[in-house]
Amino acid sequence: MKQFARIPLAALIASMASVGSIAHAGMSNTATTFGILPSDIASAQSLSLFNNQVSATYYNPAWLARDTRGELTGGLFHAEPSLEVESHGGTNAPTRTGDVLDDTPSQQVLIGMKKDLSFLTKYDHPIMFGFMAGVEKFGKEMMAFQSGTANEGQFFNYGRQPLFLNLGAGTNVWRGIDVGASIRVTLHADATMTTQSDLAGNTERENIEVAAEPVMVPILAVNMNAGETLCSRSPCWMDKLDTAIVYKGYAKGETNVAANAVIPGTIPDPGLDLVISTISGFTPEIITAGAQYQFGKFRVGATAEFQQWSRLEDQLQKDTVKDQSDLRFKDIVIPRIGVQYQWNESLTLTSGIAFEESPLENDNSDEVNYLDNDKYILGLGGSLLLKNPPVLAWPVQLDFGYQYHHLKDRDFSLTGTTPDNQPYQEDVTAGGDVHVFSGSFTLKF
Amino acid sequence: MNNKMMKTRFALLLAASLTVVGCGGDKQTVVFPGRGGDVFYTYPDADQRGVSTRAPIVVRLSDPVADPLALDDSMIRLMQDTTPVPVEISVAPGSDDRSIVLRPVDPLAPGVTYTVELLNLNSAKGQIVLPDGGFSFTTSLAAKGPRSLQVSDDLFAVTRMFPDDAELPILDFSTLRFQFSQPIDVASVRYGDTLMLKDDQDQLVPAIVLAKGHFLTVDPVEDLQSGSSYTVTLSDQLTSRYGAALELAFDGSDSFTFSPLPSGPTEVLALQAPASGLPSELTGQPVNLVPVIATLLGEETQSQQSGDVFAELAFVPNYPVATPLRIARGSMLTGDELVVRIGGQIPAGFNSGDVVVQFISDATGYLLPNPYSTSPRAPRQIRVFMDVAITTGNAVANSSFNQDVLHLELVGQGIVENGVLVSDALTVVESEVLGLETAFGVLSFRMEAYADQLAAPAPAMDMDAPFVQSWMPDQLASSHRPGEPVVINFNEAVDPLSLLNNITVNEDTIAVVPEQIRQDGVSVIVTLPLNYGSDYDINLLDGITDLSGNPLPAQTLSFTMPSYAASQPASPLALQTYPGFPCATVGRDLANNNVGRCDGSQTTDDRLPLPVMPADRSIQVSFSQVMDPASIVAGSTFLVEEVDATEATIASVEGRLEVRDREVLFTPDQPWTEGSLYRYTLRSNGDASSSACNPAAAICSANGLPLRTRLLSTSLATAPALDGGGQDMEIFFRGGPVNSSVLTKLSNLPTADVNSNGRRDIGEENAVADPDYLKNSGRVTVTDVGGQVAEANIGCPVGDTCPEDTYVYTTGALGGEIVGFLDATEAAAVARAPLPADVAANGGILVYLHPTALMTTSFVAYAETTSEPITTADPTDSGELIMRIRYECDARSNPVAPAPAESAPLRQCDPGESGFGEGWIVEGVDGPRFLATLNGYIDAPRLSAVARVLGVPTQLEHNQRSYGFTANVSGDVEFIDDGRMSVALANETAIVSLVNLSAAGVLNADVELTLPMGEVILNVLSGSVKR
Repeated sequence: MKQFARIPLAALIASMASVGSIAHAGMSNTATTFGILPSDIASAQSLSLFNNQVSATYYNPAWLARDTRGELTGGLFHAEPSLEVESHGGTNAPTRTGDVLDDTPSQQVLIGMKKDLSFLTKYDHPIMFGFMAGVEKFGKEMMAFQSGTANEGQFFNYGRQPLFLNLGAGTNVWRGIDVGASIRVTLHADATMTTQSDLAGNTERENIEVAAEPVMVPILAVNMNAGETLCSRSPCWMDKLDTAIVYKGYAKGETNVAANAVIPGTIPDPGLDLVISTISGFTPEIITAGAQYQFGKFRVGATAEFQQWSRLEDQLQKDTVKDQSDLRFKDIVIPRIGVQYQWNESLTLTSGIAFEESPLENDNSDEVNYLDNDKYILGLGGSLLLKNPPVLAWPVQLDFGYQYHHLKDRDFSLTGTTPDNQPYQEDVTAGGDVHVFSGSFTLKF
Repeated sequence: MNNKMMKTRFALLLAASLTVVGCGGDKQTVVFPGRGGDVFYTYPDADQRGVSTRAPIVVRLSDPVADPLALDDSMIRLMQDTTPVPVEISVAPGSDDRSIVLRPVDPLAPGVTYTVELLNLNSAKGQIVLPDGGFSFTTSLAAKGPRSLQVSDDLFAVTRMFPDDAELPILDFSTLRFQFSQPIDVASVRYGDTLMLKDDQDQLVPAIVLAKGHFLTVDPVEDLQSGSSYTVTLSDQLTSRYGAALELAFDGSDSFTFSPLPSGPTEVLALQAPASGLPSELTGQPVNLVPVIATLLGEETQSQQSGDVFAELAFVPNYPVATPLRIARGSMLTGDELVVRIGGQIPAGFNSGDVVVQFISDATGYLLPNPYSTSPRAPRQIRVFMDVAITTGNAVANSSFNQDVLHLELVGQGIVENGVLVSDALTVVESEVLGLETAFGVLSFRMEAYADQLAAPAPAMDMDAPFVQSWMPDQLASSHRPGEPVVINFNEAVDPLSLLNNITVNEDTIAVVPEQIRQDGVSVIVTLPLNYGSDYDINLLDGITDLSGNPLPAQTLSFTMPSYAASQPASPLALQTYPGFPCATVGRDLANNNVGRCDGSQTTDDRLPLPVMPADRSIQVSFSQVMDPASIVAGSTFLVEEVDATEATIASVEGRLEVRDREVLFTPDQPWTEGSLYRYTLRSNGDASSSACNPAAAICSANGLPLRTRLLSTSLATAPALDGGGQDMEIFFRGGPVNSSVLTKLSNLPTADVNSNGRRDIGEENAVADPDYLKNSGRVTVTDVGGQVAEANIGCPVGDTCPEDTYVYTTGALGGEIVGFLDATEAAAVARAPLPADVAANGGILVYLHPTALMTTSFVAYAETTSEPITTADPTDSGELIMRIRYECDARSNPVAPAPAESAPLRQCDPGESGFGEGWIVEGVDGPRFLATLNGYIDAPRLSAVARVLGVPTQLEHNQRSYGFTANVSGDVEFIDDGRMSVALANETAIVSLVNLSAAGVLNADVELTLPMGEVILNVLSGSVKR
């Protein structure tokens, strides 16, 4: 008798559904939820439109043109959420012991570089190229997502973050006006499998194909130094005023799994199709407008960020995991205000605050049981510039950022079926906080 | 919400390394409550209909019962309306204490809805609660007995279609099954006429049609075309056994149009039914072991079934909720042979051979969601309807047991365990045994899929041609009588479509058309009007095949009906009346359970006790002649009434009268009421000396002679005419409770007196020329003479030898009730008559014998007197002899001594005593043996002895009226290949009759007639197993 390969079918499908281990992950990404580099985190992204560092590739590629020095940045990022759920009981409500439902961290290694590529041209006009990447689990996890139903509830944000990859360029086009464009790369994963199995899950004649397809999302930016553009002479009071507007296309991570199993004696060819298509991460369409003004050693900035979450509703209708929950989202505007203080030539201190309204309108999403909160964000950080560091020939900048998220309590009704397949309803209050730490090392050349 | 705006942890984290994993928080664990206890399975299923009245009730839980030993009816009970039904409650062994079994103490009532109530039933996970507190089911209607037990509605209507094409879709491979409110008249089922399945081109779809009882199956030979339109029509020409036309079957129409869904691509799942001997987790009984429980067989007869079952599944992804399946026609399970013991104790002399259960139509089933629980642990429900033929390897057993069982409904559970689909299911198989009794057995069916379906065995191919294993009458044509069918028993089921037009019948080489050819199990029953003396050929033509298409070699089965001498036509006799004694009676006293004595008997004769009739039985009357069916009309010539003790009519009893050639059966619409008095009347012409018979007013034979209701007389002058009638035969009885004994009728066949006229006619066979006719004969010898008789001889003058004329031949029938095996202690407690030594030592099967009257042919006695030639004796014709078997007791409150004292008086009946004779079946040297003591009266009403004194004839009186005799009889019980039972009883001691003849106190002649030991043979034969 021919022996089946002892590969359980369920394990096979699971392995196709994810590269690497499964960890909780929400509809967030590092750049929009926290900030990419410590300076972004410290300002709660309020000054990110006007950040000379390589993270401008994402926040405002036009700003790359403002500093033609080359940079090579490396960093580490650690976000530790403490997402809490308090139960108020209900039908077949579970027993919850402890407060923190989810504390899945996001830990990324960051690398970025920007460089003036004008030397590649026949012209002497600076064209700054930037590249920024963040890889989860300190570089060990390229692609992390989780999508599923959750009886106990799941937070819409936080958790493991997908690969962040962004590259673009910026240049000055006219007096004080810079433009920039970049692309953000997201991955669509497609997996197909065909196999023949018995009812114990022992397979043979397996065929597996997994493909990750990059999807480019555009980012367009323009900024203006008001003084240089509008003033006929210099100095002008508007020389210290910069404004910018950035458009980011929406991005989603999508995973499609199509498995087919023929089970002799039970299901003949064409077999049993198992099709799962799910949104594993989503970044809404974002339009960010902001301005900064230099007051001596202070630099003050404010931005308003419009996020169009309503588009996610349609996306989730096609999601085989979450299509039953009738999830509704609203567009939001996030205000951010930040300040930077130049302590001396070497040390700069930064802080910022933001208020982020929850886009999730549902207080109940059957079986999916999303939890999301309005949150206050506070950032702190500093930057130390070593102009003449040991060993190295070029200046080095060390950055540190800390961010605190306070999740405002919100009531939800969780519904679904228990693991024993009983109807379940529970009233809960969701809240919690998040601490984010980030540090980077930048070589300026 | 615990508001922790700024946790103290903050400072620590701020100082920590960027790579340090946070200190962690009070991580939440989420534990959902368990389900508590659930019901996972019940048998019967909730709202199941057609449940056997013998079904156990099984409730299987998700978790063990909290306290198995404490189970009682305060936790779970069976209710009929608001009345608790007595049940034995236990936990099935081997079920992990999860299956509760309720076994009703008595059979459930047919056609009744019962409710299983869960009152305070706790499992290890908590109290078990069902919606509405329990579940209900409805028992099947009875297959026989009173009408009210066989019908659920006065209208003949379709009560169920399976699949219903709503919850359960009809697929292209589905078989259609219909159930009815009344038993269907199978003769009205004519496919293409009263029943049709047509396609959208109005063409009849070739189909196998099976009909029996309340069930009808239409199995298309080829799969239907999915997506096409089909119309099934059940016309109002379909009638019930009670003559009702079918109501519009489908929501106001006689037709139902449907479009079958596609089943394909289908996959065959190979399952095995293991003979593991392990207990079923549902009942605790061994899996796949079929017990056959019956009075005739006891409770220990069982067959271990095993084999492979191939379930063809519709494409599962297309039917995720209700997944259809089919088990193809021709599939079979085989089983160990049944060890056949009568009453479970006495070896019958044969075993069954391999028992085969063969699917005679496509079984249709569904895998359904669990009806009680949504627990992920809950198994799916399996429901399968199947039609099977039960056959056995041994010819005798096959004839006795083979049958179709239609609409066998399996209700089971199925779940994948260790990668293998396993299914446990229950059903109750009710099967007829010897055509006398309905046996039952709870089948705890277990099927396990082969783990490696690619290596599973393929369906076995049947390459063997069918053959005729036995047939009736075959070698017993001399015992065949008009009204009996011809039954052909094959070794396996044959394709019903192949029978069409392939069985022909010739009578004396001329083709005749049978009245009906029908199939049941492996038997084909051919009904046709048989004529005495004719030669018949049953031609099995080319084209008959088994279910696999293997052909039966063409062949002819021939037999000759016995010759019927037309001289001296005799009126018909009632050979047996059940209940009661077959004679018109006088001197009744119903108030004291006394139905008098036979008209024409001695006034001092025993008084017959009032019989008690079990509530569900039919009145049965057997006749000695072929009757005129037009003369037997319920409410006219055949009356059944409820009466009071003064014999005044209270009400007529409505019922169904079945008239056959030589018997009638009357089944009441309602069961006999316990304690009520009834009377049934067989009308005659009112004159024992007149042969006139008006079929509109009296029961007549096919020859136009009236029913002879008086056989006796107190003088030759009042002897009834051979072709005379008599007063109406009124038989009284009292309604009683149902009992479990098996009623059987045994006819005294063969007999040389084919025309039952009590005469030796020219052309009739005799026992000397053909020893087969020793059966039901008695040899009469003269062993002594006295008085003025010097010598006497039987059959020919003194000095001559004529052995062929010394025999008398019997006409009659014996009725009995097989009670079951009693051990020695039980037998001693029950018996009212002395026990045979064997029974007293070892016990035996008690058979109550219904007293009746037998008639023998006459003989002629020759005598020489002591005073020849002055006094001479004419040859004396005995006339027919009437042998009445007496009850065991006298119904009179004050029995009187017989006068003249030619018999011994009987004791007085105890209150409620039946007075039946007691016979016993014991284990003999060569098989089962029957023992009984016959206590009877001999009457010779027409004995005419004439002495001549000086040539002057003088009529002599005689004492052969209510002349008592006692004889121990015994004989082997044998089973014939065609399934009938035969008992050849012979007298163990000589029967002596001292005949005294006298005239005016002057002439006196004594002749001692002796029927030597072993030379009175009563060979009784049961009727056809199938009709």
